[in-house]
Amino acid sequence: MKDIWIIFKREFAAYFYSPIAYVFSIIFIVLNCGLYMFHFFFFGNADMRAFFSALPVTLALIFIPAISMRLWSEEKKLGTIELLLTLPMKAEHVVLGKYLAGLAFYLVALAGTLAIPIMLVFLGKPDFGPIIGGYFGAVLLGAFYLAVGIFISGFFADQIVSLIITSLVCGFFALIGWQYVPMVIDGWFPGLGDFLYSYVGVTRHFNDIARGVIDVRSLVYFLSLSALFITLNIKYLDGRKY
Amino acid sequence: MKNLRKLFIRTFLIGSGLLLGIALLVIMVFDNLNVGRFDLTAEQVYKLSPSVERILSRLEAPIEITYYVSSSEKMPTKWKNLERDVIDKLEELKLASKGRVTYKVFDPSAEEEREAYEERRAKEKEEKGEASKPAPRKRIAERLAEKGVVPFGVQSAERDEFAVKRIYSSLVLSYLDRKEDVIEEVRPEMFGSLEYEIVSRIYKLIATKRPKVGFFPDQPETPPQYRQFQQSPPDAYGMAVELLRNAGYDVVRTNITKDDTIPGDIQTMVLMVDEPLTERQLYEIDRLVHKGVRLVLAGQMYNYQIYPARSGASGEFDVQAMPTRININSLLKNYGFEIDTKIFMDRSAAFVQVPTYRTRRMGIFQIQEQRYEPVSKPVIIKVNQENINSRVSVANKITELFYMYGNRLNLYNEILEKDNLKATVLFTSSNHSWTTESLGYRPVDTSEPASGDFLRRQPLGVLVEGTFSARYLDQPPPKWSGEGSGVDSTATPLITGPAVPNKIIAYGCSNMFKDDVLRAVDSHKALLLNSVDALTLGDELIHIRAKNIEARRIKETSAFGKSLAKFFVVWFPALCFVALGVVLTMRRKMK
Repeated sequence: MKDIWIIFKREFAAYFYSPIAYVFSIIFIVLNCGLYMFHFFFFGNADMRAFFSALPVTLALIFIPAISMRLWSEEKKLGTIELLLTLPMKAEHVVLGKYLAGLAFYLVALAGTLAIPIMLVFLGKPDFGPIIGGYFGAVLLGAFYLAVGIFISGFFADQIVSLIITSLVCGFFALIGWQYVPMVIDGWFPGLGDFLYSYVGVTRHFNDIARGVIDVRSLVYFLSLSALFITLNIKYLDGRKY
Repeated sequence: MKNLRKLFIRTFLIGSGLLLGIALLVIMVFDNLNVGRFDLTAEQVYKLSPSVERILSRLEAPIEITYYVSSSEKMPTKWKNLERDVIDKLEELKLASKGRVTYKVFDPSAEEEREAYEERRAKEKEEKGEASKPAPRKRIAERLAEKGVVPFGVQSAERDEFAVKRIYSSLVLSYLDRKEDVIEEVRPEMFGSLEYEIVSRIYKLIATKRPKVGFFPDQPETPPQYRQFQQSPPDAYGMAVELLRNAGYDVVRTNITKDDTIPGDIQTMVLMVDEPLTERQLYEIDRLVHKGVRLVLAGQMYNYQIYPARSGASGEFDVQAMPTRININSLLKNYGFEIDTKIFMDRSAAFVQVPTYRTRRMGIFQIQEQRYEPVSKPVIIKVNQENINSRVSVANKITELFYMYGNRLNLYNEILEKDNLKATVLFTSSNHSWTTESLGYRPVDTSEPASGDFLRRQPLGVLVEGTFSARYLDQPPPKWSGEGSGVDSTATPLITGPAVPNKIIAYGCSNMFKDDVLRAVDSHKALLLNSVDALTLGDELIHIRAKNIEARRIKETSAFGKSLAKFFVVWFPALCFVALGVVLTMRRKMK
């Protein structure tokens, strides 16, 4: 636990020393909140459905790959990964420390969007159930994408390559949960689109939570896939010792 | 060392595949289990309503629901999870009913395939002379069609092209010896209202008889010139009637004439009045109210024509009032209210598309172009959520209404108090409404009055309950139209004796329920159904329907308020991040 805390502190602080992290956080807030506010007064609904519906894609394509790209790639590039792995720490502690630091930084950026519910309280009477559900879903979604991102970051020394591959993989998870993409896949390979949509795509599960329903099935989806990618990352780093 | 690395890569890849498989297996297993879920919404919209248990507790015998659905492999992608979602809902109903509701799922396509296979086999045998021709029997599709279960087309994609699939997705409810009730098309988009759709049908099945509703006016008669082309004149209220029929009501349309009278066994009468009624029609309505038949009434005092101004600046539009000269007020005054006769306007207005014409020269030719321009005038009244009384079930969850060319209602407190009637306002105008006199065929002045002359929230919809005084009490009935004036000496029952306690819902606008507006605004459909449900069946069903996700509207915001909100949401958190970065960098440098 102490080891996790040491790594967490180091990694979390590193985010705040890097101007790139600020730039991406600001882009994340301005992009998501800006998109939401673009149509907000046209429709005049005191809810955050429009905000959460865009989140699976904006998180997958930009923000999470940006905060996960450096987690291992930087260590590899600077050559500090060998040092880190030879420290008297278990690989799982190092991975968890880094992962939790990334997650904490994501939560800080996500907290920047809390201006929306504050504004809604002043302008109307929002139903806080779907808003709380939406934020809970956003945390699970971020945790899942981050697990994918940290796993991919372990393979590459170049941060840009890591960012692009993470964007592609997370984007795949997001797009496969849309109805059109699996429909097209189903048209070519009957059954495959349906399988991917039902069990692999992230959007359906996220949308369920964002509408205010915390379903055990969606929790199982997020937690099992996050755990899978973190475990794979741990196993991969363990293997580097050979 | 190299071998170790190779071994590791191989082990890692196999292990990754295995772990991925295990994770997917866990997800798949849980996906098919209804383990549990927590509804965070304020009004528990995704949980069964408490009214459901109350309604289901009245079941005298088990009710069986059969879900006829094509297998998910045959469904387009959007429909793949429908079967699972419907089964989840049926399972919830089964639990809530303590086993009084049972359900089964049946895939007609599987049966169709079996039939086709058996037919092929029989044909082959027949050709070989092994068996005689089997006795003809009805196919599954025919048997289901008799129940009202028919496949319908849905769009899907096949190899980068859109295609149409014919699928089954219908629910059939069977209860004792009653006629089976069918929800013909269960679609993913109606899933939010599925609970209401099922329970409302159960409600009507367990009632001793199907609720009967009268609807005025009847379909317009087909004039000879229409008959020649096998056409029928437009029916302004066709959709309203269809909506009530789809909700399980036995709707009987009537023009209230001698040959087309109001059926005697209706529970509720829906009156859409946009033309004057005869004395006898008024008498018949009075008789209904006296004997306790509930009344939903919508009266239209004016219609307006909006057209490009002939004089003045280009781009201006004039409004001309066309009075309908309805005379229903002579009856309504006795009930403690009436529809105001003055033109009613409100600053809260919607837009309509008005056709404009422009002549263009193209060489030696002149062409006339038609285009539509959005026009907002204070007679196109928009009722916002803050002016809707959400405490009353009739108006519950109605988010906005387009009170097209409607009038305010005048409540007569002295009559209401004298007859001990209770009036509940369902919705009102905004705080910036006003009235003006009609000026014949001249354009109406739509300019706002001085700020102090605005009328505050005027009632536009009311529910009046109590014992209503009949206008024609102990009077001989007037003659039917076409029989001349005077008294009907036939054996028509008189309005006599004490009146039965009753309820009337009244709106000063019937345009809300006409096809073109009703089709475009879901709130109007809900308002019509709520009104009829509340008077005919009680409030329980409305509470279930009201569970649909409510669009909570924001308050009216000034331009400055909007800019402030945009800055606060988009730029303020970003600036906080910038400030945090600057502070941390400075601190680091100082260290």
